[in-house]
Amino acid sequence: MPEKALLNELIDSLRCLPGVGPKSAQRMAFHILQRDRSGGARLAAVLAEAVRSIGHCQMCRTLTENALCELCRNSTRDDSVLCVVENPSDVMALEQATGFRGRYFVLGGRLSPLDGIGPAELGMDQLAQRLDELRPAELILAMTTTVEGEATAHYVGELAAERGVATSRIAHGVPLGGELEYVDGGTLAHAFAGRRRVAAE
Amino acid sequence: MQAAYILHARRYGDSSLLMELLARNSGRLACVAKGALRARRQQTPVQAFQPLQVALSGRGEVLTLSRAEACGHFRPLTGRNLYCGLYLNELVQKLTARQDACVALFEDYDSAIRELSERLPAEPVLRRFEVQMLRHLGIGLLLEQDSQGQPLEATNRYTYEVQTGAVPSTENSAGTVSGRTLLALRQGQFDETTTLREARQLMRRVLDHHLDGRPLRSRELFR
Repeated sequence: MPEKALLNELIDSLRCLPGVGPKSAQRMAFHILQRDRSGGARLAAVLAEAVRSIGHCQMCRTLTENALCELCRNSTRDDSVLCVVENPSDVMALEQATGFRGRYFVLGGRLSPLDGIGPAELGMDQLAQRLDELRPAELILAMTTTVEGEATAHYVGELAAERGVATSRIAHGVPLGGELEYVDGGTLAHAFAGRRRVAAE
Repeated sequence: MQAAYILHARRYGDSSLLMELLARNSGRLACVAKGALRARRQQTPVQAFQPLQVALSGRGEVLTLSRAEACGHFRPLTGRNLYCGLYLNELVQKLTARQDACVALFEDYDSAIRELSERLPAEPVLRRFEVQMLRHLGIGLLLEQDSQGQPLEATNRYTYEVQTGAVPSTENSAGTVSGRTLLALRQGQFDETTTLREARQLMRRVLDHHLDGRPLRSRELFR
């Protein structure tokens, strides 16, 4: 049925989005074509423009349409603290959840030899260069707690140690509102080892 | 249930993981852990280097992980030993065939990971594992005697060739290896730094031969 070719291609293309299977892709395609053609046209235009002009910040490697991202251009941020994260979405999460006022560096993934991701793919050279320029007083490692995240944190930590930069890692432990008996053993062991002295009133 | 380790895991769909396991009775295999990433179903341990007991179902190339439980005390690998663990995983992944069961290989992997987690010096652990693994795969080093059928002498020097083994050499040049190093590889005992260095260089050459041009990306982590 050649007259369905374009429709099928649309459905197929929509499946590149996370969480979209054949059924939802079909629903989306029919929705756009039957009820919201102008929305569809706008989506198509914005998507094309975004894919074309959003690149990486030259300084921190996060996603931006400019040469430097907003956070790197902001001169009121604290240059003495650099936080290294895996993904641009982590920057957003930290900005929303914490009062962090320092700088970021986005690796864009984590070291994973079996996926073919090594230091070069993550811009470790660029990070080393950034450390040399910025000379921060503290480097904060905010990685996931997977094996690959650990390896990445260790690698970045080595870069910082070679330059005499003090390094800290975000704590991992019991989630807020979590009950101890439901926390898995590894997390509990970490939380226990990383306990903090309670300040006296 | 059988003992297994996760060699590698990556996202598969929204909430599942596609894993490569090294299982005691089934060898290396691919399986899907359905819903492993779904919130609050963190009971399935999804970390490499954690000794597991797993139950698998299904047939064909990709199985289904129906149950996985952490077993035994687990001390996570840290620092350089973590890099070493990733190196072992890459070796196993790239040199073994899927579903080629070898209990001895699993046992050697298991003890290598335990030794790394106990923070023993990593290099002897890696060399022992490499030698044993190649032996289990039927492509072991020829360390019983030299190419002329004579016993290896600690004080002699040899040129090691993958096909023929240790060829006695009169030169003391860069490409040669001491009998002491070959004997150390055979026994898995490394007492000197020169022996360890020579063993590393030799094993690297032998492994590169068997990898047939495919690079080991985990080597890039060691600086």
